[in-house]
Amino acid sequence: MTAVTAGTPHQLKKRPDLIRLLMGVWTTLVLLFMMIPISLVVLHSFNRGGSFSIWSNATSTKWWSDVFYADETWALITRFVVIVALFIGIPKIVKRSRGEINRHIERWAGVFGFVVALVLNWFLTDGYRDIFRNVGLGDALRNSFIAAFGATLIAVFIGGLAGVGLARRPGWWTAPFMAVLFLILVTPEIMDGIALLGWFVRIGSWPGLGLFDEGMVRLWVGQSLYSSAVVTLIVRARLAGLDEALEEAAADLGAPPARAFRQITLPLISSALVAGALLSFTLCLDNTIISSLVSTAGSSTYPVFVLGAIKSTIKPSVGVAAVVLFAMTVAALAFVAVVLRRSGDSSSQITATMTGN
Amino acid sequence: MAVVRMPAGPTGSTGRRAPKWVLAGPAIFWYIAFFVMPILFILLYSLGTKNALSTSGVPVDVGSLSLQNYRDAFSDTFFKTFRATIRIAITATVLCTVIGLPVAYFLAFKVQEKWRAILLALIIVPSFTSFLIRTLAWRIPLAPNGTLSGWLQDWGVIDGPIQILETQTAVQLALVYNYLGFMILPLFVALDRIEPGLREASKDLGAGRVATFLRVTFPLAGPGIAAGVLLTFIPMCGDFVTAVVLGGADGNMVGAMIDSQFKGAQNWPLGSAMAVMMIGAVLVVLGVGAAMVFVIRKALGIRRRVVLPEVVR
Repeated sequence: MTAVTAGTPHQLKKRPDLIRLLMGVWTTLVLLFMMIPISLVVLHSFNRGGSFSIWSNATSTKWWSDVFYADETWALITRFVVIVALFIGIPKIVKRSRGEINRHIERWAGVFGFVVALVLNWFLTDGYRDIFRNVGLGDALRNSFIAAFGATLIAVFIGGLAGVGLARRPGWWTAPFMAVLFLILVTPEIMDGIALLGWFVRIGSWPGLGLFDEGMVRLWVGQSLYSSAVVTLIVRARLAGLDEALEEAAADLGAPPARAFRQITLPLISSALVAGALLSFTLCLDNTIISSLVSTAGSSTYPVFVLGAIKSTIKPSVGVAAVVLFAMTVAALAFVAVVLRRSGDSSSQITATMTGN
Repeated sequence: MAVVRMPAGPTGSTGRRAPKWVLAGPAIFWYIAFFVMPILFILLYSLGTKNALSTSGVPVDVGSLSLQNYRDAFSDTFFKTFRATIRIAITATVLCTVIGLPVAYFLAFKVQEKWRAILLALIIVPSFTSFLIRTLAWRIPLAPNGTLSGWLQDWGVIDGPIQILETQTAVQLALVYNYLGFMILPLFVALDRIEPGLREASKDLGAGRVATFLRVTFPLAGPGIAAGVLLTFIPMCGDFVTAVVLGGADGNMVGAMIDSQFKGAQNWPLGSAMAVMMIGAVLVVLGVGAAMVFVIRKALGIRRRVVLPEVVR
């Protein structure tokens, strides 16, 4: 009788599972449907002809060199790889020779190295301007990154604090706050976009608030709304699954709240913050509707640039930039998956986190 | 008193505590300043009149409020586009559910854990790829003088070039494509959370596959379906990227009309009224949908009610 509980209920079945087979075929077809258009974009970035949508039957990297200066770009990539490899490798060598090393250093050294490489390259390439031959597209990509970076900083700050507050200090404010969060998540972007446009135009003329006439400031604010809500939910979910005993113990031992937060709570939510930050970054990178409404002439992001060029013939160079952004998104998502898996999540839990459940 | 020092010792909680919402303070400020207030002003603008020379910088006069913009918004063009948008969005939501449910079910119950991670990644990656790029991508297979069009003509499937671009069909297709992942993923999460024991119990009690699905799995997936519908239907109604990139004049959507009132025509009050009406329509559709589900559930509940025989003592 024990076999019933231990084994799977399907073990006894001998006939092939037709429904399962059909569903597998269907899933494969759906995955192909989802992947093929994106693959076509990658393919067409190597189009020899001058059109994005018509394939010329010949490949060429000319549109890649239309967007990037090859030498500068390879130098940039090399610097990234070398610096990150050094930051990951050195702690490993130290660990081998000394036998032990601070766990936090080992864990975050690669991330720290990436930030160092990011800053160093900024200074070496005039804020990444030097790698772009195509100035219009280059500025659009640069603006996309600067906007997404600033918005993500805001989102992680206000979302992280709010997430901790929701999980640890619930009260009368929780229900109305969650209601607003829900509204932010479901309000169509066009509504946020027109509302923010009107608001920025209005408050930009108020004394001391002239900074809201700046396109980049507007982008930071506009993109931070949705992404901060996402960060809030991720942090809240992470803390809700953890016992509060550690923080209480710290308080009982006399740690001031700020110190307990820094030494106990922050390490607990670090993986949630990193995951939230990267998700927020990818969401901000492809934010189109709000960005196109609030951005000003000098601050067009990549999606705004493409949307503006839609009426004329689209060149394969647009596809080149799309492939670069696609690669960044995949890298960010992969890193989220690694961070969450390291903190013990299954693939189902990672999916739940990414979809805000 | 800026820093509240906790007295050291085991009774550390006797100091004056900050209010409970203080950690969410920055978020509360941010959302009031940049979400609640701006939208309240849109409500106000929708009742105002157009004034390009207004001193506030916003081309709206709110001296005398009226419902005139809402009457104007019911013009023929707008109402036609409005109806088309809602129809396209409902169709796309239904298609996403029908296409996505078997995929989510397969991922949740029928696939091994190691494959599941890969398949989920293959759904997550396209879903998080730039919306605009995904939409733009459809210009390649749909191009009238493109490769696919050539193949289909060579094989004799169609007579002339593909004529889908710049029509509602293209918008419909791309909407399903763009939002399919956001239907599959919440559905999967909901199905994955169902206790395996419940489905096994259903089988042990003699229910067949279909009965187990219809009476155990599907009802328990309710929250996932609701989340999927919210995540797809609402943004579809406001989406204008798809319409602008693929729709042309024929495939216009409400979002694009609102956008043009704010950018091109500079009639902000009319655009605001359109946006408010769009939100209203979304709420009505969702309300009707929820009511239908409620009634169906009630009806089925009465029919399938199990009346336990009275225990004879």
